[in-house]
Amino acid sequence: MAVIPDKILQLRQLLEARFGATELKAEESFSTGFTALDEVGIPRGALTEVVSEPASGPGGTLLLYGLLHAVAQRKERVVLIDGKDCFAPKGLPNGDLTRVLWSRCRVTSEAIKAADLAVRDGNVPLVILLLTLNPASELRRIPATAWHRLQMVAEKTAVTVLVFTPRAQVGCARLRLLVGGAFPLDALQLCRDEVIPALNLQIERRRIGRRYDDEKICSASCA
Amino acid sequence: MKKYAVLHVPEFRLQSVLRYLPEVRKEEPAALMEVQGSKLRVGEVNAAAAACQVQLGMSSTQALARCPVLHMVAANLGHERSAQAALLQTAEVLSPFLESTGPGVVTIELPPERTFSTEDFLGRIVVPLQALGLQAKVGMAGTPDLALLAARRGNPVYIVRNAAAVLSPLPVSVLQPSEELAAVLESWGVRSVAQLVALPMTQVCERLGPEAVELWERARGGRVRPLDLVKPREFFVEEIDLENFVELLETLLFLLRRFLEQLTTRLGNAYLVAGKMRLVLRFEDGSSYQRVFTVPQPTCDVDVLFRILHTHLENFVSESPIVGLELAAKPVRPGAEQFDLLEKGVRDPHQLAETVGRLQALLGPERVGTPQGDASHHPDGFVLHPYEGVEFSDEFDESPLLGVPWLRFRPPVPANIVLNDKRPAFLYSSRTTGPVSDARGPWLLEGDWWESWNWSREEWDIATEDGVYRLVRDGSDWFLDGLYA
Repeated sequence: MAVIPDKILQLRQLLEARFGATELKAEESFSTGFTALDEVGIPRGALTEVVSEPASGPGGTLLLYGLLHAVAQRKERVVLIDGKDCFAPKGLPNGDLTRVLWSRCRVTSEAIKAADLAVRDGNVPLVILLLTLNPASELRRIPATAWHRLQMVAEKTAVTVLVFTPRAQVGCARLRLLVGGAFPLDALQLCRDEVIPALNLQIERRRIGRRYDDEKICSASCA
Repeated sequence: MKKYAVLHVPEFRLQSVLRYLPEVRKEEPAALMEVQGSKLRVGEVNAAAAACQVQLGMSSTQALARCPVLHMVAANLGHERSAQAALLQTAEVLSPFLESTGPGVVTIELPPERTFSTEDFLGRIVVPLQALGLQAKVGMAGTPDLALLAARRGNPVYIVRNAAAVLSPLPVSVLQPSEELAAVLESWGVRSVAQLVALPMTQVCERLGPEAVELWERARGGRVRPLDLVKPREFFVEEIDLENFVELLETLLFLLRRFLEQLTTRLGNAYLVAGKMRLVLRFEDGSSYQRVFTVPQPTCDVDVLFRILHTHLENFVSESPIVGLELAAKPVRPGAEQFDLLEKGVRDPHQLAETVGRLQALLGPERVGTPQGDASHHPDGFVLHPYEGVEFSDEFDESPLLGVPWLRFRPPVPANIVLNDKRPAFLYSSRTTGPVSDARGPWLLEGDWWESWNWSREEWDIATEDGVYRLVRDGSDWFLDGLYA
């Protein structure tokens, strides 16, 4: 558990005394149908960051395609903002893609604008922002305020936003997951259902309600 | 017994232009100017201008001398076509058997089993056309010719019940004989229709020829002729040929708003709503731009339809100014939609359509949509359909998914490979460089071998320090095709 400095606690008490305590609402989870994610509990109307380092193997892609497959089975619509035009439709059967709105961006700034439009719309309950292949230099240039704005819009429209990044990027994400797992080269050609159990999801950080009481590193493996 | 009705719009060309100029009130004098010979002359005038003694054939100077407050407008073929289409579509509420007899004239073969009163024509034809800015007259009779004659004399509706009683007192000139024939009849002292009908037909034919026979038949109420039926157009169209080129978005949107108001009124008159819209822009350099918009929830709401156009045109840029404009609406029946009990609908389909439009404006229309794998075996073969242009599938493929997918590099990253024992051993590329610690492959793929764009490739999975890549050899060239990330 992170240690919160006394001054911060005093400041919070002072603000609560003056403006009233913030009511913490029980966090509602978005049910994806993908067991690994549902066990973790994806917060509805918030940003969730899925960090998938390229060197750690195909966990992020496996999670993305598994999630799209599961969501399609539930007849749910999805907006996929593809930050580097890297999504391969042939990785899923056509039936799984009929409710997917795929936006093929070229650069990161386009992806952020597109995500803002999709989240602001509020009609599609799940927006996936795929930034895994976007260059680090572009990702670093995204101002923190852009993520905060996206978080606030998502809260307002109750849209669940999953941001796939190659390294921790979204400071205000309500939940940050680290994707890992051991995937030998031989496993890449196996049936996908046989590979998914090797997927390892770790909660790097979870924020509850609007209070920034960080629960540091609760690890949970879905294996 | 057959019955015919004729819709007649007097000064049709003038009215078809004035309906787009609501600032010109109908009691104000207006004239349509057209080029006659080498000069601009008055081609048509409304009643107010005629009352000011503005006559056909006058030059603009002469017309303004007679009536200084005269509104002079130029003829517009696009507006005339739109107005004629509006006439036909309004007439459809009475019968599907329609003839576009001439500019501003539509002949309708009415169903014989039904009776029509003046109120029917007023409520279903005259008033809806007034809403479109067209002052129409209607005549009903037993023959098309007599119905046209009645329409010309309508105020605004004239139903002929006894042809002889109606025609007899009229002057021969109402039958519109040629000047030569009119002069002969005048010299004979034949001035009224009754006098013409009293002449024996064979004698008339012998002395005056076939034109006189036709006139004589018209004088007896005409004959029943088969109508040259027209097929109703699939789209409701409004169009304009612009005199002054449009270069600004505001001007274009102003015109489109006017068009939408006309189209929705026409659709409303036919109890229909817009399911799709087609926008055509014609440019000065001869090129054109066409775009079809699907209305997510068919509607006649001008604001909703306008927002769809506005969103799309916000980022539209053309190299030449616009010289012509056409907006068409595909009519559909409203509201007959059965939702699937288990299907999750969207809260606001119009908002979603607008968002898709904004995404297309941001990224380009070819970069937003619903992907579907194509029928080829190419690993990156897909088609991007418009969103919601693909039928939702409820039958999911239950067969197991093989292989772990990877994220593709588009375009593939060129690479140099050092082979060791015919297997990749070292990788040089702009993305990563280093030894290949492990490799699986090769998988040989080929397709479309019967086509000129046939392809064949060799694929490998290679593990490096930076991650696992999909490597492709195309001929002698190597590429990084994607990353397992």
